[in-house]
Amino acid sequence: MKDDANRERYSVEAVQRVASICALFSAQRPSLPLREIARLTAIPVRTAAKIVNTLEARELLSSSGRNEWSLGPNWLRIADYKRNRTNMREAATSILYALREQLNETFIFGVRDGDRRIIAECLISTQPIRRVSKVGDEIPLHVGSSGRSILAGLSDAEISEYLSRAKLINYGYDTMTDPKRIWADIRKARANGYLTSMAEITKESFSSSAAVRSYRGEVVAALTITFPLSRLTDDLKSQSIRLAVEGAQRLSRRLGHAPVPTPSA
Amino acid sequence: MSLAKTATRRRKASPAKKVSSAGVRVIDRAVDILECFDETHEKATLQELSDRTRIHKATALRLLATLVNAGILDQPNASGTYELGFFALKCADTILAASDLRQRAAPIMRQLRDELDETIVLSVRNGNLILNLDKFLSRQGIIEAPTIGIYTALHDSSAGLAVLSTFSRKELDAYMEACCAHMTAAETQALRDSIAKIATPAKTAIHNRTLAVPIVDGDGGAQAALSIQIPSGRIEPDLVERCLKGLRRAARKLSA
Repeated sequence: MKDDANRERYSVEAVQRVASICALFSAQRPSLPLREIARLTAIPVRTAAKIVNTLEARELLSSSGRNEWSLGPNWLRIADYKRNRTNMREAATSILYALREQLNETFIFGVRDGDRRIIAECLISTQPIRRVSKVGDEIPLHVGSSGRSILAGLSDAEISEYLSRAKLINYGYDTMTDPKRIWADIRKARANGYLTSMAEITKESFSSSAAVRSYRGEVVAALTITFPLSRLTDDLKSQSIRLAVEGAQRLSRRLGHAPVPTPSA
Repeated sequence: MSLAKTATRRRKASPAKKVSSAGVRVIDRAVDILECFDETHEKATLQELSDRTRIHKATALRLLATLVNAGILDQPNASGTYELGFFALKCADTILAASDLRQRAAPIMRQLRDELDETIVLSVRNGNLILNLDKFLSRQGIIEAPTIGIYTALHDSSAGLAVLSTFSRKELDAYMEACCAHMTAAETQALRDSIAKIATPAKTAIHNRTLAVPIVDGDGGAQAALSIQIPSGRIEPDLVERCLKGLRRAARKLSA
């Protein structure tokens, strides 16, 4: 709160206006005439013209030649640097370690790759009896709490398409193969923000998963906590759910899921 | 090379106007700070940014506060280092979504990347320059990773050479006059020869381990090119042949 207040106090109006102008553009509105930019941001036209010219010189805006402006290639370059540096696995690892400090069970970070969920990072419990898994293991998206947490983030049309092309066969011990059951689980994931599964891939295991979102708001991965069924109690179940949700939210924030504040002009 | 020099060099090929006196100086300073972050400078402190941009610390602090507030930069821990925020990713998504060619090319590029497991790049022409618009990276351990959003002269990259190969004689003469006047006669002739070599039915430019083909318009010209970048350790005739076939097939699908 104090930091926000300090930032507000020190903010520079012209730079705030840059953010306001650049935030005007979208896929539906890729270019805008100067007068429209001025109107939408409530900046006087002459001031807007100065800002726009400066941004064009720095390639943050481009002139389309019809007295219209669009976002410039410098954003592509900066985004490229950011994308190369935003390593999901790296971001997940520190969070997994912090979570395992609170609960000594196995933590899995699985990322979406097309129709599959691939394990990108895995932190195994140090208890003598533990659930094991390894980086690189993959399953189809309808399998396990982790896969279905990711699946639930797709649109209904995308899920229907996926279910029509996926092989709904048993991939482990008791995989969901009935589309009606899969849909019911998807609805549960959307309503609760997490999913659990029991003895689905491995006979004697329990898992809690929550979806991880990127800066676009898309579900890109899932964070899972898994342990032997023999240890399952109500307490452990709720703790694992709480930590999966908490961890997924922290990781989503690290991947830019927090809404970007757009200061008013 | 200093950061300031790198930034100047990057802008050299830009089609944008020079900073005019009508420009807003404080915005220029904010962009100077923003451009301090790149492939080799992921994070920076206030002191480092102030030193690199030669902006007074107090002014830099105010600019940084505004950039963080807007989401353009991020400061994960209060009073800690600064890094790029996610604002640029959203802007980049908007630019890519607005390009019809990129929308059509994306699934074809992804398929080609999956098939060859090499890096595929889409470049678009802007006057006498070419811009890397999008890429699909190889998933192999060693990759060529070109930076997106950078302009180069057409004759300085294989994608640009592929575009030049579709120029008429008159267009090529005009280009050479405008962009290659500093070259010696021998260099000019060598460039013309290499363009003529590309302008065969195969139409493939090979330059600095990059293979490129033009994406041809209805009138036979090209405003874009597809290219594949292969690390030198992997260049073998068989792979090059498969890449060429894949590139030509993809470019045919995208050409009018």
